[in-house]
Amino acid sequence: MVCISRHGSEAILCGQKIYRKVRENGSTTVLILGVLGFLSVVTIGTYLFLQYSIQEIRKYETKEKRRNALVEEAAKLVDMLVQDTTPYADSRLDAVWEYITESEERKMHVTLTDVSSYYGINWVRKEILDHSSLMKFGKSSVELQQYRWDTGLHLNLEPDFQEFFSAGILHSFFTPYCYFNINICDEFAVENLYFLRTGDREKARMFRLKIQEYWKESTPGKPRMVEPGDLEGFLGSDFAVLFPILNASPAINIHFAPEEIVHQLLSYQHHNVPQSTAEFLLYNRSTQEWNEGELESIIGERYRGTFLHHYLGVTTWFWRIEIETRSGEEGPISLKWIVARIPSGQKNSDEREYRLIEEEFFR
Amino acid sequence: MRKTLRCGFSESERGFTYIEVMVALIILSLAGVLIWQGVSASGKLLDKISARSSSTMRLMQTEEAVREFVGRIKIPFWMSTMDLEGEEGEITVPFYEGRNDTLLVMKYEDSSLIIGTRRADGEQMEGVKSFGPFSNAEIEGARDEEGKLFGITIVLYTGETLSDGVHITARFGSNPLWAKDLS
Repeated sequence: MVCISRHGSEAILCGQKIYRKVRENGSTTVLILGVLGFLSVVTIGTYLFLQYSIQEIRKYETKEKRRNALVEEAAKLVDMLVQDTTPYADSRLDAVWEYITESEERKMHVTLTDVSSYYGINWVRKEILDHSSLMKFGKSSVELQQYRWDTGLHLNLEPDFQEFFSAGILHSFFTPYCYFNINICDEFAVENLYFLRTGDREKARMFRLKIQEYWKESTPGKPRMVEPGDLEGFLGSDFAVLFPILNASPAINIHFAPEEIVHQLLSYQHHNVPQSTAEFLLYNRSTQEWNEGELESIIGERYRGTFLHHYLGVTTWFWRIEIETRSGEEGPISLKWIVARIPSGQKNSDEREYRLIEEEFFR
Repeated sequence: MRKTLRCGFSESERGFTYIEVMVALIILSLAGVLIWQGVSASGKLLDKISARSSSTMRLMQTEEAVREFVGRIKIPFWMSTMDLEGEEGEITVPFYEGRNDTLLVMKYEDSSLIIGTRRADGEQMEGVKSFGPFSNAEIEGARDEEGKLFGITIVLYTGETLSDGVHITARFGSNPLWAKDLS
C-alpha cells in the first residue's frame, strides 16, 4: 500500500514507523495535560484557602462593626445621663428610661442598672450587719471585718464572700461598685483603701486613728460627721489621692435602693425613722423624683441629725449598662459597661462627669 | 524511475517529515521549558500568597486571643497606680478577672507567644495557650500620652526582618480612677 499523506490519521494507516512518531507527539501532549492538571489542583486549592481567609477577615470586620454599634449605643446612654435635666437626682423619671423602652425598636435589648445603691461589701459597718441579720449562721461581723483586713478590698462578691453570705443575699444587698463615704465606712476598710492609694502602711494607720479620734468627740444623739464641704479640709494633703474614691456623698440612691435596705436603714436603732416613712418613699419613688432637700423634709430631722444622710441620697454613682443585639447571622452579642459618676467635690454642683470603669463583650 | 521506499514515501518526502518532527519537538521543548518556568514562578507566588495569608490568619487569631485575655484584666477602680512585673520577654499583670491573687502571664518562648494565668503565690501556669510560630515578640505595657497604663502592647515578628513587626494593643477590661488622672 502506498500512502504519501503527511497528516496524522492517514499516516497511521501507512506504516509502523510513522505511527510511532505520532505517538511521540501524543506523549508530549499528555505531559502538558498533566502539568495543566497539577496547576489546576494547586490553583483550586489556593483559591479555596484564599476564600476561607477572606471569609474569616469579613467575619472579623462584621464582628468589629457589631461591636462598634454596641459601643455607640452605650455611649448614647451615657450621653443621656450627662444631659439629664435634673442632674442633682437620678430616678425612673429621667429621659434615659424612655430611650431604653424604645430600644427594642432598634433591635437592641438595653438594660440600665444602678449597681451602687447597696451596702458596700468592702466597707459596710459591723453595726449595720448585726442589725440586718444577713450573715450566714455561725458567722459574725467581727470575722468579716478581720477577713477584709487580712485580704484587702475585693471586686468579686463570689466566691470572695461566699463564706459569710449566701449567694442570694450577696447579690441582693451588697456591691463592690461604690465609693467609700468616710462617715459610714468601717475604719479598717478606710485604712486598707488609704494603703492601696498611697502604698504607705504607717500613714494609713495614722489616717485610721485620725478618723477614730474625730468620732470620739461625738456626743450622745449628735454624731460628729464630715460633711461634703468639710472633706477637703479634713483630708488635707490626702485629698488629692483619696478623692473621689473616699468622699462624703450619700452612698445609696433612694430611688433605686432595694426595699429591704431602705427598711433596714430607716429602722436602725440610731436612725429610728417610722416605717410609714419607708412605705411612703418606696410607694412613691417610681412616680416622683426628689432632691436631697425634699428627701430631708420627707424623712424629718433624723435625716441630717444622724448618719442617715450619708447612707441615703438621690444620686446613683455607678451604673451598669448592658446591650444585646439580636440581629446578625453569628448570633447575639452583648456589651457590658460599668460607668462611674465622678463626684464634683463641691456641694450642690451640677457638674457631671462619667467615666467608663469596665467594659466586657459577650458572645 | 522515481525511487520509492518501503511504505511508498519518496526520499525527499521522508527527510522533510523527519526535520519537521525535530522542529516540532524543539518547539515543544521550548514551550515545555517556558511552561515549566511559568509553573515554577506560579508555584512560588502561590506559596508566598499562602504563607502571607496563613500568617495573617495566625496574627488575627493571636490578636483575638490577646484581646480576650487582656480584656479579662479588671483593675479595681479604687487602685491609684499599678506597675507591671516580669523578667525579660515575660510580663505579669495582676487582677485577672478582678482577683488580686491571679496573674495573667504573657511570654515569648520557643518561637511562640504563650499566654496563661498563675496564682500570685504559685509557679504553675494554668489555662495555657500558645500562638505562633513567630520569629520574635516584644511585650510591654501600653500607656497613653500622660503615661497612664491602659493595656498591653505586643509586637509580633512573622519574618526574618525586624521591619515587619505587627503591633497589637489590647485594652484592659477596666479603667481605674488613677489618682493622677483625677487631680
